[in-house]
Amino acid sequence: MSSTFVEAAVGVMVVLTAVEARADHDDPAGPQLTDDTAFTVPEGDVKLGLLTLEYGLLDQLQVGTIHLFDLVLFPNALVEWQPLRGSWGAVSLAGGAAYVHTRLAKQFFEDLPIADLLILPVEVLGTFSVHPQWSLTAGTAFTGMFVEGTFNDDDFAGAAAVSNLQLHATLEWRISSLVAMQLHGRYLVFQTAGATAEADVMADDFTSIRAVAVAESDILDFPHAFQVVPRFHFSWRTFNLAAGVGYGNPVIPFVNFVLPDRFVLPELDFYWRF
Amino acid sequence: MTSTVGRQGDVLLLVVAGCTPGVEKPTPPDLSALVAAYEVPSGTFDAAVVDQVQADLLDALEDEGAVGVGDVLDDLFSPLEGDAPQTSPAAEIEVRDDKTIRIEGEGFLEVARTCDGWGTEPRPDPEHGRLRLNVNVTDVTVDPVLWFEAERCRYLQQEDRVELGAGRRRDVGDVRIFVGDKLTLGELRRAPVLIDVDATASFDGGDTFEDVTFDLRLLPEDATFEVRVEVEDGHLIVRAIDDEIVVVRAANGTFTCANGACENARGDVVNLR
Repeated sequence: MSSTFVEAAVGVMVVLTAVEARADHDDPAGPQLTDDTAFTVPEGDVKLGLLTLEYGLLDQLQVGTIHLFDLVLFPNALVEWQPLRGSWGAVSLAGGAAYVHTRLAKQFFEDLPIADLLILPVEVLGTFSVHPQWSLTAGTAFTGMFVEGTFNDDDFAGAAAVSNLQLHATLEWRISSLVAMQLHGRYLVFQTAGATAEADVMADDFTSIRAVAVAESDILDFPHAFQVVPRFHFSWRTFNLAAGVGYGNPVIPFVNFVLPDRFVLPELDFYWRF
Repeated sequence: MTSTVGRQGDVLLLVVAGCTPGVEKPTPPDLSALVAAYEVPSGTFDAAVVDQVQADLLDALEDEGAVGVGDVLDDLFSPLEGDAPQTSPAAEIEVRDDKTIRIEGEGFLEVARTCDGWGTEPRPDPEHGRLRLNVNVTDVTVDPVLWFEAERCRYLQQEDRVELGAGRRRDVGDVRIFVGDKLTLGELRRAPVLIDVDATASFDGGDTFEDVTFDLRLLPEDATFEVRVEVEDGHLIVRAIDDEIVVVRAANGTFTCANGACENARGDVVNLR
């Protein structure tokens, strides 16, 4: 790594630390980090990020959407309700819904099968302030994904359901008003698939076969799938940046689908909050 | 999925119970009584019933020969055999155009076969009628009972014009087939099958439909078949190759027959001629 690069990076860090932060990580009454915690965006605040757009409808109720998915004709909605909050922390219930009918996307991707997809994630989170500078979040997330469609020119149709349950925890250390560190971990409890399929084919000139079946499989269940990601979170007046490197099984956002192989997981996220 | 969630935590049972799509399999006919009859004969085989046994055997041969149910089943099972009949799982059927149907789990197949017709060459014409076979599948094996319905099915049986139609008893299926447990689709053609026929048929292209009701058990690997013969004190199960009796199973033992005589393990002998 060249010395010029290192000097530039240090210079940027010095400048950044001098700017007033909005997150005020070390202020328990101030805005808190909301990703992977039970805290919600305060009433009237907007959080616009790389993936999501969230709005504080009430102090304890936020709504949002993954705008990138909306752009690719995958409408979705997010909601998080925080029924309990105090100096000790908070508890929240989060959920979402996304629906897509691939007929629209088929205009751009001809080989896409005609299918309806419905994705329903639900999550329960609890954040506990164990120290003025430390908090611990624990949560459980269940996601159901349902697919129904036809394939191969209507010869084959079916419906599938993929569901998974994950446990996650985040340890947060609020180092300064600018910087916080989070250690985030996830563990896959189960991930299963079930499907109903129907096929109509001609076996030969005399014989047609209609096959209907439902099957459950644990083929998508990867025992002991996990990920651990430490990251630093920098908060300025409106701009927030999170970066880190972890290891484990990748998880597809929103659908929470866990992939089988383990990798080094670089993480980069940024958003504005105003 | 319900059982999976049950292992992970009952609190989520209701949430996930409905996640997996379901399929309702057709209800098969009940062949339990007939299966039991073929498993356990109740009658006595002795010299007094030899003539009746031989007469009933000839009647069964005549019935089966008239409609050729064995050949009909062969036509129905052939498309289900797949590419590797001995090793493929229950429902992996390779059909033309490189399509493969594979079922592992709960499901069913409805096989509709257009009949050959009465012409010199078989031709798939809707005018020839059809047969509709129902096969239920569980995990990787076929459920024990299959059945098919005959819808004015026209075909040649040993050069006779046959039209097979629905039976008059209005039970499920016109021909009901018991194949036993743990059988895959690829094994159906060679497996012993117990057949219960309740159909009607016209012969020589006539308009009159006669009742065709009989039961028998086909054992393709041995080229033999078994028929149920009612005697005064119960029933016997007679195995034959064509019209030659080879085994008689009775309440008084299993008789192996050769050269016109049948003998059981106790040394009891019954002469056939």
